[in-house]
Amino acid sequence: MEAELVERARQREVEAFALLVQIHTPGLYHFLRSRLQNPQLAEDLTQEAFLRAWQAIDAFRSSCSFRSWLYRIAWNLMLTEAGRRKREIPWDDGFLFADPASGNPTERLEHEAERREVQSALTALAPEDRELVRMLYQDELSYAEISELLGLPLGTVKTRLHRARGRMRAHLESQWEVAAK
Amino acid sequence: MSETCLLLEPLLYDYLHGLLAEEETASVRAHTAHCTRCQAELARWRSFDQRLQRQLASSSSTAHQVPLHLSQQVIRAVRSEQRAAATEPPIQIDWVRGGAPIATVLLALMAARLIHWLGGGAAADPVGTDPALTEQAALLFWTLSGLMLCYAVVASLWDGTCRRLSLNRDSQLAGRSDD
Repeated sequence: MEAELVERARQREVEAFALLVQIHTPGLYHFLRSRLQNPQLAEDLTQEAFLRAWQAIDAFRSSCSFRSWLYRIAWNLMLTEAGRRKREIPWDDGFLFADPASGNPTERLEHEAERREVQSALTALAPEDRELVRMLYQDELSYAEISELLGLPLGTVKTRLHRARGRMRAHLESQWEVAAK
Repeated sequence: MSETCLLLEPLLYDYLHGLLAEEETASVRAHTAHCTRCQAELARWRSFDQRLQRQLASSSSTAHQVPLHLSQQVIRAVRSEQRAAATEPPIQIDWVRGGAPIATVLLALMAARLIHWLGGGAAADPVGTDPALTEQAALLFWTLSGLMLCYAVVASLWDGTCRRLSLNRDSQLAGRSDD
């Protein structure tokens, strides 16, 4: 379905590209918004990324996913913008955390404690590994998509994620042991 | 820890998520069926994963609301881009106006060469100090430069005439509209 839309968009069919825009706008906006504190900037970059994708759709190779190609354009735009504005760009390095499902005060407290533990395990990671974890869990990108987006070999992405997860698990398990004592 | 454990340990997490190829899945399944160490390792990964997924919100479930107008705004921008591309005239080189700067450069070169020649430094050799340039090449240079100069003069005259005609027509039209 998506491959067909992309193919039609490559034939400069605006209607097909409009459907791709509708499919990918929420994901792309979230991808940008979760990294930028400025909602207007996230909107502007979403639009700019789609426009660039439309202009360069001929360069898209069907060997990679349209989503990772589009996110890569957005990622590069974000880095360019960050470079252009130097430190003015409000960059959000934090993760998004889920709200506790239950309203029970005890469970809420437990949830809060667990959140702090996970947060501390994430903070202990190197920034580039943290970004990989974020792409995998928060943006729900596959290994292949992360590899295409960052231009890294698939094996490197897998190895680095395995290492990052190992570190996080070790960090969390040590905290659970302390809590259990 | 056996060699198989060492080999399969990096695959356990992906095995839990069904991300392995068929062959790898079969290997891990066969091994974990009897290896208590890897069974324990799988349980640890499962527990870790549950906590992580309980805490980390996926982008699609966050409080960041996608602006309702955003998709439509993007589609409008793409459509106007498409329209602009369709109506944009192909790039045309204005050879009449383009000739003037080329000729100016050539004229400057000719003047420099002439000054050098008249200066006496190359009286015996009009070609100058460059031994690779033969007399024929110098003749070609002068001929081409002369032709370009003629082209520039004609182009400028033609351009000037066109402008005058255009100005006259504009003023006539302005006069009519004033009436």
